[in-house]
Amino acid sequence: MTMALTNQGLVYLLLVLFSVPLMAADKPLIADIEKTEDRSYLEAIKGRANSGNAVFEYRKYLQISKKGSKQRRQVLLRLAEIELELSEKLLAEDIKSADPNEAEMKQTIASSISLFETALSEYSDESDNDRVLYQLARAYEINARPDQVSNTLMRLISLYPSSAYYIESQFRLAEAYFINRQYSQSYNAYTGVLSRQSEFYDNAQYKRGWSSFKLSKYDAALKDFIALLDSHDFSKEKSLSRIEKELYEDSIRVISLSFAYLQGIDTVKRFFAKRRSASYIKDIYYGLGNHYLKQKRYADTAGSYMAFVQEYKHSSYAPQLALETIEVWQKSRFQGEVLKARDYFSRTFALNSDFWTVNKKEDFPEVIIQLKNNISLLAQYHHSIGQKKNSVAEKKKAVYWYDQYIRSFSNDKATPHLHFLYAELLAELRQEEKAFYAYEAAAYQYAKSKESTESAYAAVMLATVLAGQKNQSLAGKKKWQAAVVSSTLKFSKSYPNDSRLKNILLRLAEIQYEQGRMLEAIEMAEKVIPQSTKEQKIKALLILAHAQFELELYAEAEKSYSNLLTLSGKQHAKYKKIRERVAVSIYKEAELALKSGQSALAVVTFLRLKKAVPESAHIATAEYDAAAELMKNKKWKQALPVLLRFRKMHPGHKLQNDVTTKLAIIYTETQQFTKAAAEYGKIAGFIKGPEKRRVAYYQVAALYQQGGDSVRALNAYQSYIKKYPQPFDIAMETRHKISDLYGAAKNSKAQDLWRKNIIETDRNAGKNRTDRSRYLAAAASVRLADKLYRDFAGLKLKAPFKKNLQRKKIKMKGAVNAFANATKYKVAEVTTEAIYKIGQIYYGFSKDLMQSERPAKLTAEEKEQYDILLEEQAFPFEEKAIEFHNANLNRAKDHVYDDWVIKSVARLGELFPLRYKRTEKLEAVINVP
Amino acid sequence: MCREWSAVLILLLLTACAQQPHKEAEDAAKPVIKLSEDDSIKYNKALSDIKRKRYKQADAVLDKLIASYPDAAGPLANKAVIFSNKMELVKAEQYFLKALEKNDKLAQVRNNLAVVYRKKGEFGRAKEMLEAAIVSNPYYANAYYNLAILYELYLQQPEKALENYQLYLDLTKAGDKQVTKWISMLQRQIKAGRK
Repeated sequence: MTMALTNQGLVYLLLVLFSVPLMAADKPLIADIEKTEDRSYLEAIKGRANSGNAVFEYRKYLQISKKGSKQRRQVLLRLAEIELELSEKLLAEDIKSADPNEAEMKQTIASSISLFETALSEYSDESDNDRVLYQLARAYEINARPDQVSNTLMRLISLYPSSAYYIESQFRLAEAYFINRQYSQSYNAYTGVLSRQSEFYDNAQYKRGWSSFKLSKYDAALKDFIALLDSHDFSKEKSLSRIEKELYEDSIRVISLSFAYLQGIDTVKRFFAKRRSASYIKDIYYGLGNHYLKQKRYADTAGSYMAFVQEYKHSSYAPQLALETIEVWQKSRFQGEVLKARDYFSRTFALNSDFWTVNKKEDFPEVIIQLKNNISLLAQYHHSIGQKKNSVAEKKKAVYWYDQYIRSFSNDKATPHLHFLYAELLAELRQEEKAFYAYEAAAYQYAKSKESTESAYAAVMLATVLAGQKNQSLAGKKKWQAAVVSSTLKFSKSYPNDSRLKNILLRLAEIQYEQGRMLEAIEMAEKVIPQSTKEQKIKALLILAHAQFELELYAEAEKSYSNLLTLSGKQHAKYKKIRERVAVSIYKEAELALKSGQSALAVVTFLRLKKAVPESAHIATAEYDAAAELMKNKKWKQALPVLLRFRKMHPGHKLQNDVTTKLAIIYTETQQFTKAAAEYGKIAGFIKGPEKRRVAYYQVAALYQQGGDSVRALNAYQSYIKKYPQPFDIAMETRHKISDLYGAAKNSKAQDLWRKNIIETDRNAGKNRTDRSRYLAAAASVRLADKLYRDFAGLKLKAPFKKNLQRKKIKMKGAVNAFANATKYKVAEVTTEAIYKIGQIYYGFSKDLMQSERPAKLTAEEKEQYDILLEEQAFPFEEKAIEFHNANLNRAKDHVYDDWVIKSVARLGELFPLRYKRTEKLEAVINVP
Repeated sequence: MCREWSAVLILLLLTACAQQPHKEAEDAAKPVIKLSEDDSIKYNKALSDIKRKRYKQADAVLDKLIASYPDAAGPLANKAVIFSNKMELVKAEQYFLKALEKNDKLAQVRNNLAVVYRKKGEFGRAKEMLEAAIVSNPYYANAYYNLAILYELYLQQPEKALENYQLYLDLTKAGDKQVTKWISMLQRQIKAGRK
């Protein structure tokens, strides 16, 4: 692709051309003539020339002058120069004139050219011909003979490389080439100019750059342009002249173009990798972008701009180019790219970005404004899309930008609104904690508004929801409950007239209750109740009652629950539960009364529960507890009907067994033993543990016995014996009791059977045998012996004497043996009794003998003999009696001194008074004060 | 203790008494507590009632006197007599002991208490109490008599019984035929036993 020099470039070129003093040879030539010898002649010419006839005079002279003379050459050159000057004037006039006199000008310049050529031809070896050639080239130029100009200049260059006109000639030659689009030649010519420093240097470099550019040698072009830029300070834009500014801008443009042809932005990056500080770099990127923009290559444009921004993030131009990028994309209508560009801009130049560590905000007011706009746009865009598409990702982006905005522009008038939106969005995203604090901030950081109110309310509601979440950890729950409390209090303080306040306070009360801050919950609930709706009152009363209940203010709780039910009626969803709460409150009141020692009040309260809440599940327990308390205070008669009612009203209740137990106690205590026995019978049926059951069975029998129901008692004892032959001791006692009961019932036959049973069981007990079983067996045996003793005693010695005597002896022997056997148990009191009774048997036999019926028809003498004989027979038995009673007395020294010993002592006193009848001497009274 | 040694003991006691005639007896008789005239009359009446087995009346008076004269031993001792007569031996013992707390020199009280112990079969304590009574009043013959019976019947120590019967006789100026027979019987019994 070829590229034409721009208008600006041409203008510059012309300016350069005209600005150079090409014909500065005018005065020197004249001066040279003045140095000639023919001063008078010259003076004449000069005078004429000055008078306007000089040309004519010079020409006339030339006609006459001799070739080869110095004067001729001078005149030739002088005339040529006059013609040249005239041509220039004519040319200038032609340019301005509407009717140019081109013919005259051409004639004049042709004349000038001819004169110069003649001078060169006639004086070809003159050392200063470089100057002539220079003027000739100039004339050719006016004559519009570019080829001749070039040829002339080439002659000059080739012939006079050291000429003062060399550089300029090179430059003019280069310019000519350039105009003729001979760029390769112009490049070389410019290179010649650039061989040494001169006033043409910059222009030559500029034009060589262009030449390279025209030759598609972009690298070379870039070198010249960059060198040109580097050699001047273009950074202070305001101080630049128009020309400098244009030169700069044109250079930038060409550089940009060159880069465009050299694979664009990547080349730029590489090119400037080591010269990042150049002030013009930004313009190059920008220029490149603009180049693309003209071609509607938006992506490349944006790419160029962004390349700079990315490469030079801290550059003061970076924000501008980033913004330009946004505009480019807007033009392109690629909304997605617009968004990215906004995003990039807003992130890169966020107020917390690095950019601001090296740049001052006050220097970039527009950037700040744009930042604000873009962040706001981004936030609301993502928010909107997020809601439309229900996209979490978009919403999160919106959250990010809202957050940026709030942080960056806290005092902006839009911030409160955006803060509210931010909070709303966080809530949508279930970032509850952040949402809560955002709501709180939106509510209380800014001036009051509708949104601040809503934020405040939302904060409370959010915290409330969070505090109530089922999956909330304990710590989380506490945290959010605390948040509800604080947020509600703030709401209450800031918006005391808000219609939602009551509900909020209600919730606060609930939270306080849940947190266990019962006093505060009570206070809050009581605060809500006045001037609230029915629904609110119901809720408040519920909290109030619950809190009072928790604080063990049961009377108050009962009242609050009752008030609640009165207000709500049966329509309340938890009507039954609250009724039950009333019941529990009453129950707890009673318990408290118990704790504080108010027994009577406790009982009354327990019993009141039934009247207050007849359907309560706690009635049974309350009545049971009332009965228990009555029993504790031994109020058996009051407790009895309560327990009997319990038994009747609550069949199947788990406490029924306990009630039975209690009834057993009451009946026992009130000496209704047979009823008590019946209860123990029931207890034996349900009581757990074989030992307890055994005891209960025994108790049944014992109580029947105690109640005088000997029939049931006997049945119960005998039943017990069958079931529980063990423990042995108790079984033995039971046998003993059975024996006694039969005795009491005067059923001696049965009694004796059981006595024998006792004896036999003891005998066969083996290791189980105890002192007590031995005692019982001994006692039984002595009682059985008693019967033999009575039989013996009951048999009178009468006719037929011999037979009866024999029978009595047999009975005596049987009784004595029975008592003797009883002594084998070695039970002291049984032994003394047995010994006493053996003594008595012998004594009785002796006495019976003496008192026996005498045979009839005895003479007095025979009767005396008979009595003596009887006495002799009786005496040994009396001796035996003394012997046995004395045996008992002998036990006294061994500390055996029971009733039987005492009786033996008494009997001894009767049988042998001299030895045994002793009576201690006692003081009838103690006669001292 | 053999009889010779007992005799020496008695002799020593009597010698001491000769130097301080009837000191112990005086101590025992000496009213530590003085009743008012009115109470004295009531007290004598109560003692009379006891002798007549009118225990209820006597008991009421004694209770009042015990309340009025908390340091008096007599009313307590006579209340014990009532219990003893009614065979309420535990209470009798308690009151006799209370009486001795007030006045431990009452040999009569110790004598009666010893009989209570004997009736309860506490022969050891009975013996100690009688011996204490003798120490308290060596001239108190009943204590020797009762100690002799205790030894004879319940402790079956005929020699000691014999010794105490003898001491009893020594203090009984009028003599006691029955006891004299017992002594003879015991002497035979001891002799027979030695054989």
